[in-house]
Amino acid sequence: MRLALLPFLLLAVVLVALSVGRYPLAPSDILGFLGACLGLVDLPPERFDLLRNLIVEIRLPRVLAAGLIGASLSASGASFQAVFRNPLVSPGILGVLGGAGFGAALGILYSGDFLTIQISAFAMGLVAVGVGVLIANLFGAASMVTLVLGGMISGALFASALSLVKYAADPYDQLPAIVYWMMGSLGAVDLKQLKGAAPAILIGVGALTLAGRALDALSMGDDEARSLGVPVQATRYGVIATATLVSSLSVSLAGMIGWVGLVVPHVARLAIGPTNSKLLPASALLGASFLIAADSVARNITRAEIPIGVVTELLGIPVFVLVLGRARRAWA
Amino acid sequence: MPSTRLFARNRFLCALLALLALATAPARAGETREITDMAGRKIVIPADPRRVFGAAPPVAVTLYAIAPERLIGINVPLRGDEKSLYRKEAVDLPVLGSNAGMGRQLNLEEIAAMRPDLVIAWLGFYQEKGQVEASFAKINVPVIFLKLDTLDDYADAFAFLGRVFGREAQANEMAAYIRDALARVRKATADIPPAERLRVYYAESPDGLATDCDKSFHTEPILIAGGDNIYHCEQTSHVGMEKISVEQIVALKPSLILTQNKGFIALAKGSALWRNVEAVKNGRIVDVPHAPFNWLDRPPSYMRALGVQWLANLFYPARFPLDVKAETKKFYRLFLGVDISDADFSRIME
Repeated sequence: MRLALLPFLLLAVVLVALSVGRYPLAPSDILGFLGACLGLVDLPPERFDLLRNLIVEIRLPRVLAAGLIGASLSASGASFQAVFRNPLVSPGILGVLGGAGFGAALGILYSGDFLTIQISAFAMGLVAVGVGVLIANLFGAASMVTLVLGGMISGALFASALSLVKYAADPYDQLPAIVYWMMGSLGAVDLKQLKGAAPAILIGVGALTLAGRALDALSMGDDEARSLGVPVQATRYGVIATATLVSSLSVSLAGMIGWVGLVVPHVARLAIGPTNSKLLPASALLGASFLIAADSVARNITRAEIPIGVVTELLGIPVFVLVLGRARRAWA
Repeated sequence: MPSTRLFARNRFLCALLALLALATAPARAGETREITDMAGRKIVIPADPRRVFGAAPPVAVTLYAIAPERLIGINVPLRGDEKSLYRKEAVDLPVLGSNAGMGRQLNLEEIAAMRPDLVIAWLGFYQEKGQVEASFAKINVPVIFLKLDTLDDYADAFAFLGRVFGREAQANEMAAYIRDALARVRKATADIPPAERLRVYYAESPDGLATDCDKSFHTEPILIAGGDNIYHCEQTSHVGMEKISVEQIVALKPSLILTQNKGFIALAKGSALWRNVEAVKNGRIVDVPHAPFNWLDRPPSYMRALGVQWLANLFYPARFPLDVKAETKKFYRLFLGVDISDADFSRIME
């Protein structure tokens, strides 16, 4: 029942986010622009072009990117929590963040080109998870525990590799650029990049939400799930691969944005209940709304932008503490 | 007896050699003198320092201009692609790190093994004076401090280093160049009313969305050259590079963008995000020359003495006419000890 409300929440957040920004535009400007788009109002062409640039080319990609990234981090966080049956798991559990950070730093060191940095971050995120899974499978078939351990080792490995890159980086411009990337930012995403990344993210998030039923079966135990006809290993690895893919894509678009993937699933669980088939779409919708709202705060409060990662942490931690208090029953 | 005569003659020769040595070496190893450094400390240093370590990049880059053959090492590797623009003395120096608090850190034991007789540190940055003194006291090397907060400080720093190394004539020429460049640029731009100053956005990082405040030491050259750095604020961190949104940049209407990142120019020209930024619309995005050292910042250095002239000419060609090529050649010869060709110049400005 509540799930049906979430799309409306998302829509409202999107509309608010599109109408606020550092360039002073009155609500009448926004309405005027909408009217002009529909051919109801006449705007001077120059004014129309400026409005189109601000609303469609600058704000819209940012809002869309925040929505996609929030949805993918939250959906992958929720599915990781279900697969590992552990409430403290976040999308970084298998080392994807460590790998992406290393990849971005490498891109800054050797190229400095924005697109190269993104591709390198994406690729290294996948490589890091691959290494984690490889380590887990090194001594026979991986259990959930060895997978987590493998991911931790891989994450630590890539974190130390990142430190090494920082050490080698030019302290004048490359090192600050690496630090800057690590804080996360949605400001540089444009429609062209979104066209490349959005379909994959949407398909991935869609696939994860559809896997909810199978994950519900898994939560009853492997044997139960098998008896219900759910392919246990295939589901598990399929979900891990998909969640890794979308979280790696989102990290490559916007850098490190912490806490979303951990906190949002808990809030969703509180609102919707622990059934994965509902929890996953709820997490995706709520995550999208949350990150769009957090980014609107980040880009509006001061003349300088507050790093989005800082905002999600500052907003996320108190929420998480509250949720922990109320959600103890659900996990007991 | 022949043997006695030989002995006597040897003694005479030895004495003669000793006298000669005394006469030709104005200051031998072991001789010291007291000086007052730029922090106002009185300190005893070798009369003629031979093995010198600059503990932070801006210091080492300054020493590179005045006493390159005395350096025992550098802080960060030189850029591989610009070998021809470096002094021969510096190309093969070992990379020893710095006390800059980030990137490669120096290893005190390694520094000790290089037997420096003088360490020169950056005053007031990264580390407290006392900490720097204490760390080099452990290896028993005297430390003197250079104050390098503003471009004016660099003129004083050169004059000071001239006395340290006994190279007053060369150092005073450098100091005079900096003072003269500053005076000419300031005179040419002083009477521009605030409203008519060129609005400049300083784009850093590959996405161009990091910048520095107009009152930050990072952007001092823009201010000196009479530009209005659109990002008005007080510097909050040493590293700088504050985040800003495209929308904010559109609203602040910069007429010119200075970028430290070549990739950014292509990005800005090809992206819908930037198309309404005035400077991008008019195609005024300028890459800052950085070979062998950056003309404006990162690291801040005396290169700014050339940088402010280049900027003033770029901002206000009528007020500050400049033969950039001739000035660049003159500057590189005086400070960097290299004669650059026309081809070198085009590559530097590319």
